[in-house]
Amino acid sequence: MQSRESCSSIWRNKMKRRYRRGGGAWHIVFLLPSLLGVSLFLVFPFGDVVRRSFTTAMTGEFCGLDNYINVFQNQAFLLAAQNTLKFVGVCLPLLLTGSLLIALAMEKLPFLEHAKACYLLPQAMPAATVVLVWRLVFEKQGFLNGIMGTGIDFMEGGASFGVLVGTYLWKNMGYTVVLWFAALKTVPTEVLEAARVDGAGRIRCFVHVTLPSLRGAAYTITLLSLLNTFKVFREAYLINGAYPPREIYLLQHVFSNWYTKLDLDKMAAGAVLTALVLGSGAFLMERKLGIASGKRKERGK
Amino acid sequence: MLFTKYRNCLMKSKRMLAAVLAGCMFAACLAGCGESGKDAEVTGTQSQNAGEPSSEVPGQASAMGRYVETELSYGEDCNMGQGKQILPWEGGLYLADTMGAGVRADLTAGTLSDAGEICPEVLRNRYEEDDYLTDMAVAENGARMYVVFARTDQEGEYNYEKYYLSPDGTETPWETVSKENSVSIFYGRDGYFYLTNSWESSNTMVYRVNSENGETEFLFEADGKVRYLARCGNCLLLDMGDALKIYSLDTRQEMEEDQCLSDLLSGSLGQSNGNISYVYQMYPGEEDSLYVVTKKGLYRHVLYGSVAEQLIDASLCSLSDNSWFVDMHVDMTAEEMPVFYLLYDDERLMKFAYDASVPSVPEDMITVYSLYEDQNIQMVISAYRVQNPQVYVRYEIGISGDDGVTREDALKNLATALAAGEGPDVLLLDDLPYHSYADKGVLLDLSTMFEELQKEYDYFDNIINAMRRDGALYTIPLGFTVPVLMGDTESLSKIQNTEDMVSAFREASVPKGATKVGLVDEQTVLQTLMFHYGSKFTGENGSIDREAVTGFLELAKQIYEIDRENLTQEEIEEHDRIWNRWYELEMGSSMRSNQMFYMSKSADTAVMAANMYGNSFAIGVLGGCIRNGFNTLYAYLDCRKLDYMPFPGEGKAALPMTMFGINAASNASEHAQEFVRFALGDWQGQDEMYWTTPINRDALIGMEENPFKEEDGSPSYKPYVWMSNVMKNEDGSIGADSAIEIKWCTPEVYEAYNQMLDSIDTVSGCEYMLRDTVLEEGAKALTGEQSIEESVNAIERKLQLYLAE
Amino acid sequence: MNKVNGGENGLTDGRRNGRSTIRNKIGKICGRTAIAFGVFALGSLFLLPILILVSGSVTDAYEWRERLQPLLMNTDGRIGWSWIPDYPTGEHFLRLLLYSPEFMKLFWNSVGMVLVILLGQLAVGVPAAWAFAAFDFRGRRTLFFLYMALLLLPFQVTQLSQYLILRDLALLDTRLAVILPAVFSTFPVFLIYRSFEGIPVDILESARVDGAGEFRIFFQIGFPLAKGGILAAFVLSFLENWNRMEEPLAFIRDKSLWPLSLYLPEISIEQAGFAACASLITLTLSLFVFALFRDSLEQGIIAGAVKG
Repeated sequence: MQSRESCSSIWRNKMKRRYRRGGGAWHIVFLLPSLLGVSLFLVFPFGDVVRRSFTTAMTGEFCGLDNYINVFQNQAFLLAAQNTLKFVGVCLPLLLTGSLLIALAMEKLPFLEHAKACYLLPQAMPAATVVLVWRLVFEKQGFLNGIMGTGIDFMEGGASFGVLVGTYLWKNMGYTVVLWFAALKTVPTEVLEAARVDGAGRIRCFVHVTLPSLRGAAYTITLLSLLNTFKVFREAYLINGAYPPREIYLLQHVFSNWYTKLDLDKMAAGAVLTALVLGSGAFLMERKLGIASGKRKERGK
Repeated sequence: MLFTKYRNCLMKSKRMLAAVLAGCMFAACLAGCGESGKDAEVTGTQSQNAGEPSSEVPGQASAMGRYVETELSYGEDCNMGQGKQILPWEGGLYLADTMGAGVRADLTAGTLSDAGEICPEVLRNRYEEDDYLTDMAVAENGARMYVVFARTDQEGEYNYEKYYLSPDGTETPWETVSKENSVSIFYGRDGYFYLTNSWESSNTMVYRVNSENGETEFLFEADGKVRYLARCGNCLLLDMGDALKIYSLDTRQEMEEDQCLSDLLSGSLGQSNGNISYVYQMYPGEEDSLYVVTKKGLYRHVLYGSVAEQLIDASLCSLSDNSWFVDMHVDMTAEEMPVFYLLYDDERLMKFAYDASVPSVPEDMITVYSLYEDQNIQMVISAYRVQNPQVYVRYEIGISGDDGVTREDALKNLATALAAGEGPDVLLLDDLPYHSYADKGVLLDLSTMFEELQKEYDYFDNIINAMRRDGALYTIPLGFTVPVLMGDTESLSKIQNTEDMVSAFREASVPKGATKVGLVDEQTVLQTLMFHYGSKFTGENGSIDREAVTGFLELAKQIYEIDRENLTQEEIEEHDRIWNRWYELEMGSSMRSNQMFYMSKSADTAVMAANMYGNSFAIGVLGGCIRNGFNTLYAYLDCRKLDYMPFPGEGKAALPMTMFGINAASNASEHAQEFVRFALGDWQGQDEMYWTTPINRDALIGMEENPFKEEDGSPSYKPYVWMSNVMKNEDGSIGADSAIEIKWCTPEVYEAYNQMLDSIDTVSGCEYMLRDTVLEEGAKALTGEQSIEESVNAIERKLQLYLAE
Repeated sequence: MNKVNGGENGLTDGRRNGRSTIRNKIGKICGRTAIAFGVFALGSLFLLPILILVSGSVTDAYEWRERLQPLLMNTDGRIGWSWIPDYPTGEHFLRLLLYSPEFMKLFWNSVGMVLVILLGQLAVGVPAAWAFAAFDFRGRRTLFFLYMALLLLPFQVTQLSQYLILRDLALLDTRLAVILPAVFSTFPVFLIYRSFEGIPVDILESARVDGAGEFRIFFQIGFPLAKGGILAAFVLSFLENWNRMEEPLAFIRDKSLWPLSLYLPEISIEQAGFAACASLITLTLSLFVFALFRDSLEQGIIAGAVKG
């Protein structure tokens, strides 16, 4: 008990964030260009979307919450939301833990660092290239079936979900490993030594020293990975088109198809709902890992 | 220690790597630069005209003057064959046809009158003896050169006899090239005929013959096959298919490439229809200048110059439509700007004259949009442009096929434009989700316009009314086509519904190797039947009507099995090979427009196959022109005494083609409505449409009138063209290629046809998503891979998302 | 670099005194080999598609068609494959580099666009990140949260609204239609903020006390200290902008202004060799950037935040 506390407190002393003070209105000068542009190109459009969520598509008459009710009852949207949640729920943990484990392994065995060179390759591949190679590998007549001796069409049905998850992991694993690896290197070694000296086992050291110190990195990495789950839509769209198998029918597919059919009102309502959910998710994450705002007061001095 | 050394090594190698990569990039950059400079400059009004009208271009708003197009019409007495050449003639024009005869154009009156006496005696004799001329050129002095395709003494062997006809009418054989090989003859407009012989070897020998005396001169040998030849100044320009080569007439050597000209013609080279029509033409101007007309416009270029000046923008006139150019003539004696005459392969002769009083870019503009290229609308737009030069009609195609734009991308762009309020004015709804658009209020209700049109013309109301949606009329098609069942009269008369049809198929007896219906493979069966049943797949609230789909698949399966009973595996493969696969591979199912889809199963093709294999029945879509469509079909049917009837089943259906819709939010609504009125009213009947019967009933009646007259003025039922026909022999083998006569049908036949069309009461066709899914899953049901129930389940599952959204 | 290897010395060994050391060692070696194998296997999995591309790009079109026969005709059977083609050819490279002016044009379009975007982000995003990191003001947290939330919106949602705004600014169908919104993307702000945040406040305070102006602090203290992080953020931003597909497709109709990312989807699988070649070349630049900035990339984002 004692050692654990001292571990954490030592770490916290090192990592404490102080309350910043700035001078006058200087922040405006630095912030202004960005603020203007962001308002123009991001905030206004989103505001427009919010407005559209309360009106009908082409004629623009106000219709209250009709669109929201419509969207809530829409089977396609519900399916897509479910799928997206499932996708994120499967991918993120897999990615984060998997890459952390590999990064730990790399830490233990220094010569593995050289494998890192290839780890960044998937990030660089454009979506169309991924699709090209995927078709060669995953089609019914593809390589994977050749190796396994089966005739599964991976582009259909349940297998397509696996392919999509695989695509996501393949693309982001390498980079996430690199990030974790860099983060691991910043774990304060003195604290770790102190913990060892105090008699804490490997696992304990890991849980109580390493993990907390990775918090900031974890936040960044999680957010980046979440962002990248959306990017995987590109590959899914290029492979399976606008109407993929049910299992990989994601929110972006719904939005895209609604847009094509001029169902702008439903799309807007759906988007606002999604934004609310994502926003609250990000908010919670910030609370829990709460480094981002940097306003966390010191504790346990 | 080791580590730091290693790290230094790594750093160095990293730098080297960076340097190497930088070097590669630089090299690639240079290569790229060289190529990007290839975009030669095309100056003049092109970049300004090719887009928006005057308001977009500063300072152009008040610019005046441009080329205006008029059509020179054929006079009553004009009896010209397939046009070949335009020559200046005694202050007017002389149009030579492929037989060397011609008509004279009286330029003051603007009509073409027959000048038959210009046909030399010798040629007239040949004409009467039915000699077949494969090529012909005429010089201003009346000299001609031509190639006669003549039979020799030995069976099945032919010779190409070439002749030179002097200005005074003496015919001399031209034997420089042996009789086994043909030549192409071009007239250089300098008193010389240029002949190319590409038949003997992979090279081309080029000769020159003096039109005054017939003296021949060998010029040079060119590498490759020559498609087209033109002269410019002292050079010869040869279209070698993939490049344009220039040879000097003085030195007889190849000269260097003219970059600008090659760029101008890129994409147009190598395309020709025999040696009659091309996608471009070149005419020698004064000295070293050249007039080039392509599908993008008419340009003037000085050989080896760096610019090509655009004189006429194709998008403002008929230059950009489907027809190909036969010949061009430039009248440079006119006061300021030359006058251009263009002869198209559909026998139109257009004159382009500069009018300084017309604004250089029309002020009004309408945009016509279709997802895939629509051949019919090209004709309408072309005609409209000629009549209304003050309106700029822009034809926008969603998926041009040149690039990888997918259907969804094109639809999204259209949705963006519509949502932003700047969508096209006229929409061709054939492949668009127009039910969605109608529901969202994007389309204008055309009921009032239709009422007005009905006061002037008679329409197939039955079909138009079948397209109403909740009483409102959001779309009117330009025309339609009808799925028909063909077979012998007796069997057909017994068929009242689908069960009868199936039993008729079953009972029919066919010779060996023939099928009952000629459909054979699962895709064809499904596609053909879908014409009629397609619209029944979706139920009331937009969900799948399981019963209808199941019924459809069961019917398809029955027919599929009946059709295959009689065939061995090889025969099935043979059938596939000839009739079906080529089309699938060519088009790919996702790139197919509705039009192309219907066209692939046209009735004439079906009957031709039926004749060839001896099938009892045939199913196809019947639509299109009379002269080149219905009459042909009737001839094919007639030779085996077959008949046709609308496809049996609930209701008689027609498939609408080129469906017009007007954007309710468009700014140019008036012009758009005018355009659609023109398309449905005045224009109908002027041209024969592709696979589409006109919706304007008056127009159809007009087209059915027999244009051929006997000497005494009564209608002539003599054959006017011959098509090839292959019939099955008695013993079951496929017969030889014989000729079938196409003649004009009697009024009774047309009356029956019209009545059939009048009896149509529903409209078929289905959305592409549904169609493709049913085809895919249905095929599996037919081959037995899965049961019909499973297929229906799969269809439902796949489409659920689409319908649920 | 001091590293503490948990298993080598220290407590754990001491705790296992009772067991045989040889068995331990073997166990460890096995464990290590297994891990090493796993990691390298994974690495090769990442490398595999690149190798397929390399091999495919030197295979001529005829051989490709033969190999892909089952796929194109949708019959049973497998796609044939051999790592070294029967008749290796440079025809695809030649065609791409010499006879496809569109490719080079689009390539330079991409390069130009990305460079301008990165410069723009430098001018706009970095100061913004500094503002969030170095100053405290009312609404800082909410504003930053808003910045992050905006990142999570998929493009389709705001597509039409952005289109309308760009249209009103008359930017449609120009490169700026893609460049401007990208310049103001909040992605780099988010990443660089973390680097700036890691700068100890004392340095800033003392600089302010010394009387240095805010700009000086930014340029002479903030920038250099967070250089690694900024570089890393830009590498990521480069990648994102190099592969941007939806925006150019939606906002630019003129194909001559398209970036390279839109060229590849247009090559169908029937031209697999050509596609492989084009992909390789597209990749090259990204890899080049990766190679150059690898160190910054690895450390910058995370470690740049925390100085020891």
